[in-house]
Amino acid sequence: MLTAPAHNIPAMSPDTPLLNLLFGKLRLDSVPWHEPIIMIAGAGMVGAAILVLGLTTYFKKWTYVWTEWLTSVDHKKIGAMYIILALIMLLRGFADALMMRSQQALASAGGAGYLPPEHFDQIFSAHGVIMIFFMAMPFVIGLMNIVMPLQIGARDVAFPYLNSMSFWLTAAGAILINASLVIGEFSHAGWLAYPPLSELEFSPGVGTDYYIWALQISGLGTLLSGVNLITTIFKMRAPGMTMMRMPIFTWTTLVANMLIVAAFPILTVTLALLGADRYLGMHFFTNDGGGNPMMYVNLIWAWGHPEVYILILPAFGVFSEVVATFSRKRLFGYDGMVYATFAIGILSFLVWLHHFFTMGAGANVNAFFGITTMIISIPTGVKIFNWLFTLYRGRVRLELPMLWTLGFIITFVIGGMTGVLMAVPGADFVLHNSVFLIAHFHNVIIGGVVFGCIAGLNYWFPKTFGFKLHVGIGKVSFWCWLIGFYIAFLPLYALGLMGMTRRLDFVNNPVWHIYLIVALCGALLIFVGIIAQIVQIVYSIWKRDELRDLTGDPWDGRTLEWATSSPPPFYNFAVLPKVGNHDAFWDAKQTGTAYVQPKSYEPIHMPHNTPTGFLIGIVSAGLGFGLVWHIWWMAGGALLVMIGLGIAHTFNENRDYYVPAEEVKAIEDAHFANLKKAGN
Amino acid sequence: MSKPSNPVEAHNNQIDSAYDHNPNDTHHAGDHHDEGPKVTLGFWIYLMSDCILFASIFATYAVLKDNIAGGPNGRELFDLSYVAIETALLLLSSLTFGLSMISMDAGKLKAVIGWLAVTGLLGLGFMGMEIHEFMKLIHEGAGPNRSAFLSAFFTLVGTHGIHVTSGLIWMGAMFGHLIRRGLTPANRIRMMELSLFWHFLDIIWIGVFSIVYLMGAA
Amino acid sequence: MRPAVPRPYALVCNRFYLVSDFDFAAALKRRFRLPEQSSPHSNMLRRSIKRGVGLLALGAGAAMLSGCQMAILDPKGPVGLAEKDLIILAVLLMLIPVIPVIVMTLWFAWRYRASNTKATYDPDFEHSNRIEAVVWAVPTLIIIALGTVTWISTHELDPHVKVQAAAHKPDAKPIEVEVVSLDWKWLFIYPQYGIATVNEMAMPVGTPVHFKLTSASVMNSFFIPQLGSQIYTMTGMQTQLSLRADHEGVYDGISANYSGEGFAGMKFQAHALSDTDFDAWIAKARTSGQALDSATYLSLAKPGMFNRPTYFTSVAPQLFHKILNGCADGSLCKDDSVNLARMKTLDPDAKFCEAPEDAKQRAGQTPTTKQTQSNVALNGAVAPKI
Repeated sequence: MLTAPAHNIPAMSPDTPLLNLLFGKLRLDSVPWHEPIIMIAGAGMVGAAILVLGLTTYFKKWTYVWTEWLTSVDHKKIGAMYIILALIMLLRGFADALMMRSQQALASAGGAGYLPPEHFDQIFSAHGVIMIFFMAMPFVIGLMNIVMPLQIGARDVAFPYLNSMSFWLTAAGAILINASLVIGEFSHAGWLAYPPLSELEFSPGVGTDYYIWALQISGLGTLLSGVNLITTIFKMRAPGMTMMRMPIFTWTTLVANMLIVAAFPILTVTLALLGADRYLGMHFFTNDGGGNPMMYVNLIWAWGHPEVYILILPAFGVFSEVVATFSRKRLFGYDGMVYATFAIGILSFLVWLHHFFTMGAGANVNAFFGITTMIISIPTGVKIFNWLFTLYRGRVRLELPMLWTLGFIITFVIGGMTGVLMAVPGADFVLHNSVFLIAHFHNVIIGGVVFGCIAGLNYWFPKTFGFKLHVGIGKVSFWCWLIGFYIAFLPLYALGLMGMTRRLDFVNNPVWHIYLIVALCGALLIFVGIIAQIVQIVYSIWKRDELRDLTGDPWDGRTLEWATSSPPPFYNFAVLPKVGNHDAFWDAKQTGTAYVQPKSYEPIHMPHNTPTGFLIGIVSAGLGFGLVWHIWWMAGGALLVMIGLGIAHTFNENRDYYVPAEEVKAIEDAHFANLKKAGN
Repeated sequence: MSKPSNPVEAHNNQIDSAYDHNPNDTHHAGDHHDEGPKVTLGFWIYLMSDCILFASIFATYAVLKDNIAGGPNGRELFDLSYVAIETALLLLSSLTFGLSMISMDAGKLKAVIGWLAVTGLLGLGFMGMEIHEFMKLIHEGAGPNRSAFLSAFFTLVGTHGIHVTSGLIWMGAMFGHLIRRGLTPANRIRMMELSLFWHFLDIIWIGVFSIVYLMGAA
Repeated sequence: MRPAVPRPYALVCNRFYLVSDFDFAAALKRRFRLPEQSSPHSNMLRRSIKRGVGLLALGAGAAMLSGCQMAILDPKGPVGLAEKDLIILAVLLMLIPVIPVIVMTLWFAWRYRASNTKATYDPDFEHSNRIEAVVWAVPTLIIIALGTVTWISTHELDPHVKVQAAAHKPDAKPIEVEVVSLDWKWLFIYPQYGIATVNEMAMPVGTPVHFKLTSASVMNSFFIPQLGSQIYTMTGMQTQLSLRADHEGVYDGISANYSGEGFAGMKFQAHALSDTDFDAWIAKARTSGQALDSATYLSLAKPGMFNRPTYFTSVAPQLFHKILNGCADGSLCKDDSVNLARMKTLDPDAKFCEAPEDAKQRAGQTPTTKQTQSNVALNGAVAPKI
């Protein structure tokens, strides 16, 4: 019998009271110096950071970076930073994906692969956490931040300073996750850290603590962002924009943020209770002391399923906008879309148990949750039909956002079908936790959320930065993603039916080898797609003068965000638009009122920039790091600094100002000159 | 601006241009930035999410309250008369906060600060009693690591305590604001939100008192 | 450490499986318990459905499905068979809207492309009661149908439902097996035979096997893909499952829930044997010479990977019960402490150190415990038996 130590505990360094006081559990050998893969990845990360800092210094851009970005409270810039964060984390998360796919491909033909289990386990845990919390979430929140205020004709979000803090808290979580790669380890308990595996007894290292604090800090940011965006929608719509005249993307933003506000506190509690077990020796989810691990599973999915819809609803919103614009037609069944969005939002709280039918609950309970899950597919189906009937009798232009949308519809219905299949408890009993499940949720998350995010990126990039993204490279990216997706995940569907379960660091079945090789090829093709995406952005920045959008309306758009210049002035709208219907800008173009310059302008009330959000975010990373490593002076100090900064901010009375009418006029004159140049 | 139809909105509209720090500039009266309703709505949304946070902890407590793992149960531990005094302190503090708000509406700054100070003292008293209760339990070997029931008990009551502490810190900052600038529109909004928060904590405590202490000791 | 070349597990594949083999009519009959009949009419229906299904399978990539490795689609017992039927039925039901949607997407995008100026252009076409009624009705009807199938099948396939013996041996006495997931191996206890095994189990063909399951460390999921239904094993909780193998063979058994470092090697083999072979297998275990006493169990429970199948002649008394109640190491059993807690609720003067039996006598009754009920309500799994 081969026995292995239960868990890898790094060789202990000397423990003196002074060292413990100063550094907690952190020692020089907490860094895995002997692991070449980690060291290379870490060196790459540190190198990239040094390069960025060096270039900023070399080009003397620090003032620009500080005043225009780090301290900015402009929702468009904060949104752009969210998306930049998402793209960086996409690379990190995808590197994890490639390592997993190659490990399984290598370790399925008799070899052992190149990753020992304790590494592989961290990699799949990090992959899930990064892709959901630090790729998909920032991407959709970034899009909502950029687009929603423009769509409702507002000049900013309700609480601009809070918005900045939300972003920097999310960034702090991302910093912690990346720190865990080099300093210590990451959680090896999967992306949801089920106890008792994630308890101290089975995970004595700092990995789970990184997980807890990265998610707590970024989760706080997400929650505050939800409060902010809901208030914005309820209180800051342009005159005449009733709720039923809001663009569908704004509707989905509203519902998604309501879900955030309702679901994220549950995540906060769940992780706090796990933390209480680990830090204070409590017994919520432990095997002993009366703890109940399955309560964690219930709680985390009570957050986790709404989370899925927090991601997918804004993507649905993107598709709704794109389909209408590129079919040059009103969205079919607007009211139905709104009701369907709400129905999905409410139902998303009634299905969590379908994630663990195999727990052994009674048949009535399982059947109930199975059927509620299926019911969600009704409003979802309605949405798909509505998009189809928007295409119907339209004038469909196959621009990049539209390509992604068509790819989405086809891919998503397949993913939806396998999802409903697994909502049948009897089918789930054999498919649960298999790679069939992996294929299913990648099918809906890549096919739905990621395609939606990239469609949105291509669609609103010219609005945000003033020039379009290159079409040819964008098409390369699209086809690589689409084909790569099917090559990567169809084999996983098949493997799931063969009885292959998820999270295997090696696969002892030579028959599966070929399928895993094919899946790896698919992943590589997707990687080409991601690279093409990056190249597309870089190339477009280089050729920005050729791709320039002078009108502010590059796609012949329908909603208010296209009524202002690209990029919009920092105040968005010189004069708040009046709204008489949804598709307000389209109607204005039809009636010829879209491009009439007002005779005079009023001064505009705007918030000042503030470094408070940035500083609180950065210090919160210190709080998290101190807590992870039990460096109590650092954690306590960081917490005090954060509270102090927050209170000090309330004493800042110079928070806003008026933009003089002359300045507004100068900016608007330039915009109208551009419009004339473009022939409008 | 249209005439508000309900009293809450009417109240909010009094404090409309709260962050307008240029009171002489009447030119902008009725501009777009009516902070009061925005802040109030935002704060309500936050409170609702806090409600869900407490609901999750209450649910956890309900599931674990019988998992005493051979340790003491609520009936052995809870001293209802002690908790009754705690409760009285907190309820009284809500009353004094209400008096502070009435003084604010009457424009009496000193009374506002005075009643707020009484509220703060009552809150401090509550926290003192709670910490004393915790210390006593831990000393008796009934600490949060004794059983799942006690973990849930300490976490639920402790989370409420952390909220009260945050309220007290906020109150400290509030004194600064009131002394510095008096009853400005911005400070009126702050007082409104703080009072919302304080009454909310009262309601949560009533839940804690009945579900944890009364039902636990019965 | 793990071996460079993992021990290969035999892949069982007795029958070449094609999706077109799927007998749709028979599956429907099984599902809705319709009487078997072979009128020429139904045969024709069956053939045409078979052909249709075969074509669909081709369209969906029959090449991939035509291997013999599809364990889930090649079940060897009634539970797995019912689940395979259910999967195929559900997929076919859902293809009713899914295929038209895919076709319509491509067709509309092509038909109404901007360059095709001959196509109708109706920029204000945004509402049609008739279309909206259809788009709500179609998914609703499909879900009503699928929901009905779900309700019935979920009750039939409930892991608490005991599988019956095969038709050819109706009197077969069910085999009881107690399963414990350890880090990272499977312990099987056969209380009727007094033996235990690690990473290998056996059952007679056609005889129901009733499993009682728990875990001694973290959560796992007990799964023999070709026999159907998996079920979680959780510390301090007992789940149950009932399976039957109808064909002799060696089937892969796995943990389907990630449980840490050694998870990938947490495999076992399930042997479905003839009655005589099964008796021989029991006899082999009985003569292995090694006893599973407390000390052996505790050393077995230590984390370890890639355990070879091991047999134990005898098992410490009440071992499963003790593991379930967290007292296999000699500590206080959870059910005792639960008893104690209950007694304290009934009688506040009861002493901490009082033996549960005495307390029970003094209370003079055997009440149901709240804890068990709340655990059932929340977890489905049954909490420790008192």
